[in-house]
Amino acid sequence: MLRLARVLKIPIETRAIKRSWLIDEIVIEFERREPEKIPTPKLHSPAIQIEHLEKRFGSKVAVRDFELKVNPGEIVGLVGPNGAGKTTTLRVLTGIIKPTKGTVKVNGFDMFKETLRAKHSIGYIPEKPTCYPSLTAREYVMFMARIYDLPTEIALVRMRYFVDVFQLDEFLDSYIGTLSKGNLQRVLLVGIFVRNPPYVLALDEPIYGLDPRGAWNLKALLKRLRDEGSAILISTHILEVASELCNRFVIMNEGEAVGRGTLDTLLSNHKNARNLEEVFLGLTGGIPQ
Amino acid sequence: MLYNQFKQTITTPSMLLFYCVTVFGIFFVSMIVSSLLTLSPVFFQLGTILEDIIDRGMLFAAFGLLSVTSVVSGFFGLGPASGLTSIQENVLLPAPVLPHQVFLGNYVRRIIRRLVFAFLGVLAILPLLTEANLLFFNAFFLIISFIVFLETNYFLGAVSSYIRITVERRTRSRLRYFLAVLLGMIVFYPVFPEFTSTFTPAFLAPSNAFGLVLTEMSGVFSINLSFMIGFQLQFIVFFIALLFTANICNYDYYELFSLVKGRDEMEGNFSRFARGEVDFSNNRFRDPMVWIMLKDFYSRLRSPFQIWKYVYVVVGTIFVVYLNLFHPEWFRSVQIPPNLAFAVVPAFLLMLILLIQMSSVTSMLSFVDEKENVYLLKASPFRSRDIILAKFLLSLFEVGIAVIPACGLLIYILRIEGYIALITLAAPLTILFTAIGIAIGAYVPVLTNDPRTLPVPLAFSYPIINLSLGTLLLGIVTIFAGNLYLLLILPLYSVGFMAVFLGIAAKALNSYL
Repeated sequence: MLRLARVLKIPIETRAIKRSWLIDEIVIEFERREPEKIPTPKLHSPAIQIEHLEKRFGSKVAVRDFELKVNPGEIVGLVGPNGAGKTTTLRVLTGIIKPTKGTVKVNGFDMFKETLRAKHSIGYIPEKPTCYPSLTAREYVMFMARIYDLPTEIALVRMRYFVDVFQLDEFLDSYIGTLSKGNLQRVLLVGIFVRNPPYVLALDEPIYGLDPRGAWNLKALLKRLRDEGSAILISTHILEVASELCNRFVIMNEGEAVGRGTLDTLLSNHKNARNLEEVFLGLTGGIPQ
Repeated sequence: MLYNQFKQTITTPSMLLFYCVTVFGIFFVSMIVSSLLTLSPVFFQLGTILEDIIDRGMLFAAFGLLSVTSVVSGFFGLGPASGLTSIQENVLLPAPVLPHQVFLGNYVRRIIRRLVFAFLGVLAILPLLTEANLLFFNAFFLIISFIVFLETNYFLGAVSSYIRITVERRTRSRLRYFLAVLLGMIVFYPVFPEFTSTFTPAFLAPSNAFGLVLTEMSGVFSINLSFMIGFQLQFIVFFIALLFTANICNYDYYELFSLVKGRDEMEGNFSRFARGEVDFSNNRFRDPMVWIMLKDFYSRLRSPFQIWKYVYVVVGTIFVVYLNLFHPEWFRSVQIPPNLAFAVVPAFLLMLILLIQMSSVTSMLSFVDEKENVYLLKASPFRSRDIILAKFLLSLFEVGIAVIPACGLLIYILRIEGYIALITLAAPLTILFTAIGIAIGAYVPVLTNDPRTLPVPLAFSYPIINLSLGTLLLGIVTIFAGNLYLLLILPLYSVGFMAVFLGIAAKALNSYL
């Protein structure tokens, strides 16, 4: 709170007051600055556009002729068995690796021609969460804010908000190397949400390691962000999570999209299937007897 | 991050302890060595001896070969991608940060760490430097110059790697590998005596500039120039090479890093070949200790990086047997001048300690090689002492066989009287160093929750503890030489310390994070 007051240049004599009064001071300062606020930008539609994507590693084809569109206000689930090419797709989407063929656009920017602008738009949570062990959670979040050119006062407010959402308060000054997997995942999530909404998100197993409360909070947050106009692509094995969260699904198998559409479309295309799990099993090798 | 690491080190008692052991250990060893040896006459005569044995061109050629090695290995290597980490892959590579910014960030961190280690190193060997009448600042200056030389070589390797990537984009012909030879020749060309016997623009070449600093600072092969000229040239070329490397960093290196990382995680052709038809699950042993040893042995044999240790043992042993039997003309043993005869036995013993130290690094890695599986091992229904003993016995076997070629080479190179008696010291040293390695390795998961990474203080304290106890062992041997009690004291010393360190290892295993 005091740091925020310092960033906002609230006079030092005014800071030595009760916490509730300081909150009022901060709110007044924010309201005073409100006219300077830049209007919330809208995402390009589609926010994620992958066309004819092919990715080879030597002679092995990891992803073949893959197409995907995610519009603002939509959560798309990328589901598939192990080795189906989901993580490779997300790594190409986030610009970590280059496609062998095809184009990838994020918020209208080509990932490999306007790389910085495209990367500025997308937030990524990897399959295996890793982070700098020698940074504290607070330092990491501020580091991310700095990378994404966020004003310090906005970063502090957002950090406080998401720290409360993910119940990270007691770990804020802990070294990341000492955190459990679940808490590390929360820190990474705060790191991507500290930026300006609306978001374009590529989340690889985002529920991984979260306890039921953390998972519930994240799902509620993702639904709210979707309703506010964010575009979210979730890769997951957990079909319950996918069916609960996603508007549409793309089912991948052996590097190709073998099914796509809303749950209703998928169920109508597969008459014998009663739920997403059975559609998934039917498209990826058949339902085990 | 560096600041945080420093803060963590000085606030974590175990880390601080290991750093103290490292720095004061080196200080202690250098004090002992400087009191045992009279180094200043050796250093003063070294220049004359060097001038008698080799010529100026040969000295410069030796440094030139270092640059050639960097260029050729850089051609086949990762270049700036070697500095990337999995964490950066997840955090910085998808972020709106340019590749050269990632490279420069990594590089500045790396250079600060190196300078700090260089400073601590010079500080720790201060007794040796004082005894040898070498000025502290000269030694520090020379180390800085050497670091700048190595770093410039690293950049040459990075440029070489960039050339390969650029060429591979156009052709996959096998002829492209000849480029490595061509680049090596280009780097070696300015080293020829025609360019180095007098001051020429060829001194811009990193190896020549370092050679100039060394020769002018020491006065050996001097051409009466100020060594500062060489130092300035080194820095000019260093900064040009740094900026050039930053400039060539692009997204291709992200791709390269991901590819190599993926390859590490997949089973390579070589490991399939190494595995053969052997299935160690078909054996009659029921002791869990033997199973841990078998698991480790076959895991290592099947790892492309580890099997080279065994290949080295076989090839190295054949080679030293050949050397000692046939004394080939093309590789003669060192002829020690009579005025340096007094230093031969201590030199032999110090080299023996160093060689065994190098061979025993395997033991320190026996727990690190388990990676996250170390927790699985810990959670298995084995007694801690069985795990420790299994790790110790297999490491002892591996270190033992790796020591054989090293000792054979030492005997051949420094053919001194009474070498048979001296070389038997290899056995207690091997036992001791292996046990220390196991204890240090067992502490990795105690100090960090990333058991695949060896913390720097642990890695540094290992050779220092070895050198300290090795030197102490030599001291005992010197004191009791000719006394029958030595036959009792020596086994007691090595087995006693072995038991202590294995006990420490078991204690570490019981206190994992």
